[in-house]
Parts: sequence; C-alpha cells; structure tokens
Amino acid sequence: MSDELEALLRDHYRAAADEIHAEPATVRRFQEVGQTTGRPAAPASGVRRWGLPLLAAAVTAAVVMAVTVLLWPGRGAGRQELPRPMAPPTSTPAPGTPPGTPLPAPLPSRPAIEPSRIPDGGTSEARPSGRSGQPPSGAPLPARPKAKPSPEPTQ
Amino acid sequence: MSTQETRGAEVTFEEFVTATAGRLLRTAVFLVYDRHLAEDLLQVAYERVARRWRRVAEGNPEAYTRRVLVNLAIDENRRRARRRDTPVGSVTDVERLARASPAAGGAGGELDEVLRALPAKQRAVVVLRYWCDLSEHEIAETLGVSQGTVKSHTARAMVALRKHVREGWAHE
Repeated sequence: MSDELEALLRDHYRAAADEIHAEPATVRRFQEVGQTTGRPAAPASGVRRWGLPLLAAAVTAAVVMAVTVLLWPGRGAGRQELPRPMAPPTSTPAPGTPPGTPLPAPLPSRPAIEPSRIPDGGTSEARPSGRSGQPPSGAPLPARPKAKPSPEPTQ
Repeated sequence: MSTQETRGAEVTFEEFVTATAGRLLRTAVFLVYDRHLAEDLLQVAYERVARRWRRVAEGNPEAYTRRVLVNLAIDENRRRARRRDTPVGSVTDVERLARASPAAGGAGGELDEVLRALPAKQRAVVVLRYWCDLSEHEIAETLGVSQGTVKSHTARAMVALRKHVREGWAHE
C-alpha cells in the first residue's frame, strides 16, 4: 500500500510537471531581477538593513555611558567624597634630627658592593631606592647626609 | 526531478537561472498550487540568491534557492490559511487541476485536492520527497527541522493520502 501510494505520488507529480513550463519571458524576468536588484545593490541594502539598529545601539550605549559617569559613586555633582585622614599626626621632631622620615643608615660596605650587582648601563635609576611604598620617580628623596640619623662614631 | 542539480562554482547567475527556472517553478507550483504566486515566490527566492551569489555559488545554489523557496511557500500558505475567505489561484490553475491526468487509478484531480488541503509543512515534505527526490536528511536541512519532524510530517501526510486513495478505490 505504501509503495503503491509512493508510486502514485511520483507519477502524479511527473504528469503534472509536463504541463508546467517556465516561458522564456519568465526566465528573462528572473535573470533581470538578479541583475537589477541583485549584486550591486547588496551593500546599500546592508546599510539600509543595519543602519537603524546600529544607530539605536550607539545611542543606547552613549546614554548608558553618560548615566554611568554621572551616577558613579564619588563622581557625581551631588556626591562628595567621604573625608579621609590625610596622614598620621606628625610628632615633634627631636632637636637635631632632620624633618621627615629618616632613611636607614647605609652600611659602610654598601657602596663597594652595589656597583658589582648592577650591570653597567643598567636600570639602577629605575629601581626603587630600598624604601617600600615610595614611588621610584616620585618626590625627591632627602639628601643622604641629612638622612643619616646614626650618630657619628666617637673617637 | 531527475536532472542533476546545478552547481554554481563555475556558472554565472544568469546561467544558473536558465538551468533551474523550470525545475524550481514546478516545485513552487506544487507547493502553492497557484502559477502566478509560484512565479512571484520564485522571483523573490532568486533575488535573495542574487544578493549572496558569490557566497552561494561556492556551495549548492540550487539547494539554497529551493530552501528559500520552500520556506517562502510555507509562510505564504500559512498566511493564506489565516485568511481563508480570500480567493486564491487562477483560472489556468483550476483548469490544470480539473483536467489533471488521472494517474494510477483515477485519483489525479482529487489527489491534487487532497495534497492542496494538507498543512503547509506536510505538503512541503511530500513535494520534497516525491517530486524533488530528497532524502529525509536533505528535507530536514531544507526545512530547518529535525529528521524526526520530517518523519512525523510524512507519516501524517501519508495517512491523509492513503485514506483518500482507499476511498477513491472503494468508489470504483
């Protein structure tokens, strides 16, 4: 039964197909459609198709960015930063000691060792000066002689 | 549809249209049962193919065009099913249906009516299977559904057709 039905359908389509022909005028119309609205128009069509969604996406992104910038904590006009302590209260320096945090006293043998560890033309200037938390090229360090808190050896 | 499918690697779009217009027009007519609508749908399908011709030509442009055409036809059939009161078809189509050759046991014109009454996807599956001679896998790719869906559509369509054929033979 199934095979018969399949054969019936195939015969039916074959017989009906004999009566359907694409006239030359119809074929020419199809070809002209391809020539006129086809390949050359593709970029314009793409621009037309994606132009509006792209514009909408750009506007949305701009609005989101503006809102984010305005409402970001600490950046808005109506918000102020919480007061933060600037630094620990400075103690009165002892007489005779230079202001500021003194650097540890360099070892006497340090100048003799250091050149051998740093290659010639190396990046010794770019390296931190030994104090943690101090930017390498930030505020100038106090002069070395001033920074020596160690008393002079008594002779 | 025994003619070998046209591969687009070395042909121009115009040559492709010349080679495939007849086959695809028949497919379109079997899908929508309206000659003018079939031509319109095929024209739309060719337009879409022409826009992507460079890319489509590297693969199988006829299969691509058929896929576009079948999906356009399914959409159109659904649209027409929603507004059933709108008259469709033309005089020539009615004439063709009326004088369709009674193939294999006097079921010709009536078989057309049954095929026409099938839901859009079931009819598409039948056309692709028995007119285009596509496999279940190819039909699934064309329609963008699974092979299981193709099987179920085919089975339902065959039940309706079998019922019609049995009744036709019982009347004889």
